[in-house]
Amino acid sequence: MTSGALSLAFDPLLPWAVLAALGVIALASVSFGMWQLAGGVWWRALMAAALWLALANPAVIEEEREYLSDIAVAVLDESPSQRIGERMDASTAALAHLRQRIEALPDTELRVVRAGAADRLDSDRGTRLFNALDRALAEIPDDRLAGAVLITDGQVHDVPEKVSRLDEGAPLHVLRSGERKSGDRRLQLSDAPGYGLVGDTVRLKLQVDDLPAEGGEAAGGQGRMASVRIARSGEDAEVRRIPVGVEQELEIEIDRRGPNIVEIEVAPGPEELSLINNRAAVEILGVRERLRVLLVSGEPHAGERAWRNLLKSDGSVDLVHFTILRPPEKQDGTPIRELSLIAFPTRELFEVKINEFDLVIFDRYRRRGVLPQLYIDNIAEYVEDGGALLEAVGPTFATPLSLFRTPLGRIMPAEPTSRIFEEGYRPEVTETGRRHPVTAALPGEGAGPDGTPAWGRWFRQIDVRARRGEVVMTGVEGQPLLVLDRFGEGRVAQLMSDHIWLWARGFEGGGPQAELMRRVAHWLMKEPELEEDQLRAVVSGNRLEIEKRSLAPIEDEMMAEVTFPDGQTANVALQPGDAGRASGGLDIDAPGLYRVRMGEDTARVAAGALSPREYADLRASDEALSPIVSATGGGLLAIADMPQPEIRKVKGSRRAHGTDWLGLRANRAYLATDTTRVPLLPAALVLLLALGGLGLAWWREGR
Amino acid sequence: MPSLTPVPPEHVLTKAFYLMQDFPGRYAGGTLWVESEESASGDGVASVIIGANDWAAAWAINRNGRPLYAVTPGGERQREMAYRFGVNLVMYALTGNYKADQVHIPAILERLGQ
Repeated sequence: MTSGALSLAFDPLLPWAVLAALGVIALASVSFGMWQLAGGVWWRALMAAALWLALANPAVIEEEREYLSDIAVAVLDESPSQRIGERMDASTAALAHLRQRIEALPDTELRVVRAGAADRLDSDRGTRLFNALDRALAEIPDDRLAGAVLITDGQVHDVPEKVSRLDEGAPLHVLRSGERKSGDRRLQLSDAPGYGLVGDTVRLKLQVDDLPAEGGEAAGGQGRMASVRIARSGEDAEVRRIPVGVEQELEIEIDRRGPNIVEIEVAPGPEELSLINNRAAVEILGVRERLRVLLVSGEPHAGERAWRNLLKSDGSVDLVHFTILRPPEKQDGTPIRELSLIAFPTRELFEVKINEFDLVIFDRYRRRGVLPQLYIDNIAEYVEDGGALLEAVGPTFATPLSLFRTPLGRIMPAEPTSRIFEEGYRPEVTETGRRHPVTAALPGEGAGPDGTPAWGRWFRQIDVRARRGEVVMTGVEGQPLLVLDRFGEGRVAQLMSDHIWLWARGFEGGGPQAELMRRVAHWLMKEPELEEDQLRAVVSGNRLEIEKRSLAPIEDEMMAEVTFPDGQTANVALQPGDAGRASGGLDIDAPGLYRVRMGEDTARVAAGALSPREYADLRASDEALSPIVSATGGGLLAIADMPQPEIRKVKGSRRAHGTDWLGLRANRAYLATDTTRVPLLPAALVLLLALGGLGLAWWREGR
Repeated sequence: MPSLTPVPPEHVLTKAFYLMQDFPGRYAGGTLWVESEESASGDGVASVIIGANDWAAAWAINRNGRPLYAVTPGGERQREMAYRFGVNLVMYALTGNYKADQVHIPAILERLGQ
């Protein structure tokens, strides 16, 4: 809007000091004339005044003004707590109403900011609206700011002492969504460690609170009991009754490497706003303190030191190595005190403590009468109960002295044919092996000429027939070289050659001996990273990444179903990639437990903080915001009570809110677009007055 | 060449198969040098062993199985010890520091029991 305004301005032709001096002289001479009662003094006074005014040069200035619009800011809370019940719908409706009303006001505009959605899931800073408000205010000049309106449920976690920009009469109003009269039950977890040793127990604290409705009972359900359901992946849930409002300790046994996820859920309380804070998930990473490896070498041979170098170079491995230096049949007359041979604690190792080992390796072992049948049987049982066995065979595997002809034979996936190849060959990774995490992308694979592996040859292979398991590498005539299999709860790997040490030695350039053996060992010990057929879900930043690995080739897009913490579901497409993987993902913004399902496979992942600040209190409340609202002279209206408040413009420091209206400051800031200058004393008029005065004075004096 | 040190009394060469503190060959009494342990990696096996006792001459036999060279100062015991050193050397080359491990086994077993 534009309008004009008039003002008077002087633009003196001489400095004001000179003008003042001239004025004083004129006044003095006129006064002297009056005292002397001289004739014509009035005409002289008229002349002097006309000349003086001409020198002062008065003018009228007319200014063209353009009034600037006042700017109000609306901040819409989009935090997860706003998704409860009707809050979001009510808030968007309130925003639409606000927008429409403000558009109807003259010279007023509205800027809308959406804020509060968690910027990073792991930051756990709760709802932050004032940050966003400050940023919006920084772009608005002081003399145009009309005020701000927050549309929120009142659970705001960055309320400052004061907002400097909103102090000088520009009010901060709140339109609060949500019903005030409801209590809520919440579950809070704390003190959960990030990781624990496999086999150990970790403790965490949990507490169930019944938050009362405002004005309701003061003590939050003291003395009440709540039933809590504690579920671990792949196990039946345990239900416990715990008192409400009292901190409880929960013990969790870490029983596997990698993520151990525990879901805890409390039954709905007497009053519930949302069940989202009745659930929590803890993810504790299971780690092994030390790896205990039992290496049984049948006889000293060239490859033995390759095993030792490999196992000894890892500081976290406790190696118990057992080598048969002299078989019982080779006795001679050397006195025992000159020999360094000592009896090995075989009973202790193979009977009492066999289950304490994470991995047992047989290296060129054969039946020899050193280990009784019973001990061999124990190892078979150990594998069946979840142990790990690696067998690197020597030529005797093809003979009747083979370990296959012992109770261990039943757990072995590959059966000797009694043939032995003694010729040079290059180990190859099979088609299945390329998709198996143990052999996928092995360094040097396919790097040689014509896509052959760029690694050295081996010169011995024991021919076998694979009865079970996965053949991931082959040697001479495409016969199995490395076979992986699961037996009972445990795992078995068989390597059909004792020449892998040639890779360690760098013969013909060597090969990835350490990498291959490390992967085989960790696969045997059930390292989650190396599972060949699994669905994995991980949260990185604000993204849920899903990966499906499979030994069968994946050619088509696959669909995975994701269940969000609030129970909603979505489908995610997984795109096939190389090495038997398909992956996909989606952006997430709410903390909590996500479940992913693909047919039979399920994966779970906990995102964000354990007990997110955002969900700690879901009750709509005025408490946090009312001090700052009253400090700025704003009003706080519940949308439920007053869905369509009047919006008015108020001037200066007048009251800016009422029970059914909110006020925005009218600043009347303007830009001057044009000025017109009209001199008040045109030259002709001055000449007339001066000459007229002079003439009349002369005439009067001449009488 | 890595840095060398005289064989310490607890070195695996003294107990790889036979127990011995001297390593006679055709001659006796020379110092046996090995790579110092701190410079080795993995299992810590010395890559170089140097001595002046001419073990090969003590081991050498003719077609009839008779020794080719007399040992000094002499005696069947010295030749037997030369053979024993040979056995220990081969065991060391094949099994590395296996024998040194065995000191730790009681401690590991104790840990396993926990």
